[in-house]
Amino acid sequence: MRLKNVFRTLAKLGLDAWSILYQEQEKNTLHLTNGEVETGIESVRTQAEVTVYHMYGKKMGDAKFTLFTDDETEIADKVKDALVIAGTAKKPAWPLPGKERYARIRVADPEIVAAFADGKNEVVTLKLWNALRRVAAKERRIALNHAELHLTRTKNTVMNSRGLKGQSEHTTLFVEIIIAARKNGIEQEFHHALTYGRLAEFDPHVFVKEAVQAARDVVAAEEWKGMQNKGIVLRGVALRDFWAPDLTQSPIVMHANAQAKHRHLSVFAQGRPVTRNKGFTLTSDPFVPYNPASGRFDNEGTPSRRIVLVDKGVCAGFVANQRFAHYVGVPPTGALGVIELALGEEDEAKLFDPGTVEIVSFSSFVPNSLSGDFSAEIRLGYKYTEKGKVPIRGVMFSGNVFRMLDAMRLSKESMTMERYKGPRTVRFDAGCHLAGF
Amino acid sequence: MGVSHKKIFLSTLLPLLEAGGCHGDALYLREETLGVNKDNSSTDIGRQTDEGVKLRVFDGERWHERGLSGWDERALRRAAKALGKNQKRQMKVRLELPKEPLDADYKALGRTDPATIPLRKKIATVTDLHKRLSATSKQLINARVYYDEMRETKIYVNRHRQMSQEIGGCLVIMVAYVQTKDGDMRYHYKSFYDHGWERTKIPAKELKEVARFAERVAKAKKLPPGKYHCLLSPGMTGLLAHESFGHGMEADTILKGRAKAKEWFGKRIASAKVSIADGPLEKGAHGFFFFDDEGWLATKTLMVDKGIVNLPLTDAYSAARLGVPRSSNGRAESFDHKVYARMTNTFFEPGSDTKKDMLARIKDGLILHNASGGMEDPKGWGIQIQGVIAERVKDGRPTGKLYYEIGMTGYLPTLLKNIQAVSKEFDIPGTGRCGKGHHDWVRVAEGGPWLLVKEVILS
Repeated sequence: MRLKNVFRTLAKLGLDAWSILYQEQEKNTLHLTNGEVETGIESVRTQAEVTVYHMYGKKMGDAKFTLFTDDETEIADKVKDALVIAGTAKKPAWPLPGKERYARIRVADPEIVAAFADGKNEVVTLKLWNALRRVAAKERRIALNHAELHLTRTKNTVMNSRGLKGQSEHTTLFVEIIIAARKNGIEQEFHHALTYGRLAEFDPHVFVKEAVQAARDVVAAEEWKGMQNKGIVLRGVALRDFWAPDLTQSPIVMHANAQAKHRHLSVFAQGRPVTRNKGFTLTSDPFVPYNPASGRFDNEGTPSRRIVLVDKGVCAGFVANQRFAHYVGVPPTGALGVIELALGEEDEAKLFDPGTVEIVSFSSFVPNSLSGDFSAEIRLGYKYTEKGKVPIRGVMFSGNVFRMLDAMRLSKESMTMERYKGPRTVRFDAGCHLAGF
Repeated sequence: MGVSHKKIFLSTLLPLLEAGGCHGDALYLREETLGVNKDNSSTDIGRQTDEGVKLRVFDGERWHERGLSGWDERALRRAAKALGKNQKRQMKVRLELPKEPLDADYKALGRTDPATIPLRKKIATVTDLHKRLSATSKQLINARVYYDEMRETKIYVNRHRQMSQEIGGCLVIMVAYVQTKDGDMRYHYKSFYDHGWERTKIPAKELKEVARFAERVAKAKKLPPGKYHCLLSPGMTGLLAHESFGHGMEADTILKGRAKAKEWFGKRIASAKVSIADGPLEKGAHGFFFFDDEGWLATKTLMVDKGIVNLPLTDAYSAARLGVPRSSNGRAESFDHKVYARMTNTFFEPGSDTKKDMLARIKDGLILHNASGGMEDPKGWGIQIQGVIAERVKDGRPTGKLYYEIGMTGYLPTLLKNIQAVSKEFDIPGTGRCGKGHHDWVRVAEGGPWLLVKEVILS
């Protein structure tokens, strides 16, 4: 399928407006079972998502469809169907983006791009796997039971009938391993998975060592019993998942979204406090180099913009595509970027005292985006005692994200990982609790 | 190009795939969805399609695969030739492959195929449902009705088999949004699914129940952590079967030494009242299909048979490596994703007690109505279910007092041993998607009877 053919066909059809998101994705994935290659996959996905718009006075109807072919007849049939749909779903019209200027962001690793261009992508993933395997082989009393490596190169082109054209190329390396550790006849495992924007950021030695240490701590961990509702610290992937969960939207982000505002589901209002905590500033930043959450534009070609959502505790802005920006009366921002939390002023050592519980990994953190409530099991944490830190697991961490903000303390030390940039340590003293049985 | 043409064409690729002596197969898939989404502010309608072909060869040790989007016969031929260069190695892994010749086409499109219903009628139906839902309560901040229509076509060929299946699905989700007196936003939803358009006829009673329950959710409190005597709804029972048990019975997980289930095969894990099964052929259930993505015809697997841990769920590779019987659980999210051992429709089998009698046995406890989801822990058999909504029961009677966003935890074998009764009332209401961890999503369903369980850990 060729984009220019799709473009030409749409241009000929005399439509009021249209847009195309054309995606070309190459992927190489390697799946290992007990240290052996089980499956290797090379795939190519080329598709176009077309949106057709039709004006009905002050109202506009829109409808999307997907193409895997540039066949003129098929496109014409789908457009005809889309126009029927557009006619039945009219809404107040909004301006479509026109010719735009896009920020330059580095999100494509030249090494990964070259690997695909030269047909060496499988060689690269095998090399990475061998590096992981060698590091793991040096560790005692552990087993590398599972590994997956996904190398991806994606090129997106967005065009519309108003002359908009944007192009971007992204690369990612996803690495997932499961390490089992044994102690006193008991075996426990730790799941470690990260996505990188470029190969240079991936250090197999560090990656495996982190997972091995975590697995050893999990197997040595106590099943802590008791209740605690302050002195709870988040770090590492647990901190990232709290602010930028994988499977759902963060409640803060959900309420700072123009679409939710338009639907009367957001409790945020520009200029009104979200929390009394003036140290809380949250920004969507789509320009963090090589971060998988960064991007030049959204699916409609709206340029990405850095936007402060909460400024010193006060609602300051909304993430908005073109349509909902127009409806709500805010600037369009494009898609959500990396969640950036402003750094605090405290040394992170000050956030710990005897009795503090540090959470480094959840089994799964899936908050209720609307209410802010959550309940998540701690996969690995540490209880700080006068004698040092003791690993714990199996404890339930529950609370409400909004109610935790007032008594939140942020470290001045920072970290950046996929989807998150901000304090390396955050402490909560209200709005949540730990319960162990 | 129709199904017959594609079947024939894919079969012509087999000699190319198997040129090096390997076993080859091909899977074509096309999934089309129509979504109609209406709330108080707008109606949004969209179509999405996914289409592609997965070509595979197995060389005796591993799979080599190519995935190509769309349907491009020249590109497919080139890819098949490239894969055919893989040479057969020493048979380290002997796959049990579908060998009986079979040329068959299957369909499940419901009593009324949704493709026969005009688009305007679909939109009118959703609009009407929305209007009726909104009218049931003045307390709703917003009401939303999703109609999601799916058409999944798959063609599988290997040297013995050429099969196709076409499966339709109509999913309706009603969501009612409310606000607490403190200004927090909450919601309650219910989903309805079947293969055909007939599923969109939703009685007024169901609409009222969604709204009334949402009103009660607005007043729901937090539950003090503790152990409770609980009556689990079919939805909750299903989540337990799926998240806490089923994932640990996926053979690829067992193969990797990641599943506690390996220590329990042939052993008693629960009373004889308890059987847990997985099967794609539950008609009208969200995880339905006729054959899996490796061409294995759908069969039911009894994972727990009257309290004894019995059989795992397999794909071809894991079954061969473990030396266990194949089941129809080899599934891939799409043509460019791997086939893993995955669940389909997973459920506790019904028993002989009645929900009414079971409820009467609770002096002070809870009904666990539903939950938002859960996470597997195959290694530890830990229970991790989140977003549970519970209702207080006193002296055998529901009090109407709800608790919101509860987490359910514990150790699975302990909970299974704590099952006191299993109802004959039975349903498979689940309509979600299941991930392998946080990736590779396939449609599934879960359910079962009502379960009466003592000492359920909630917080």
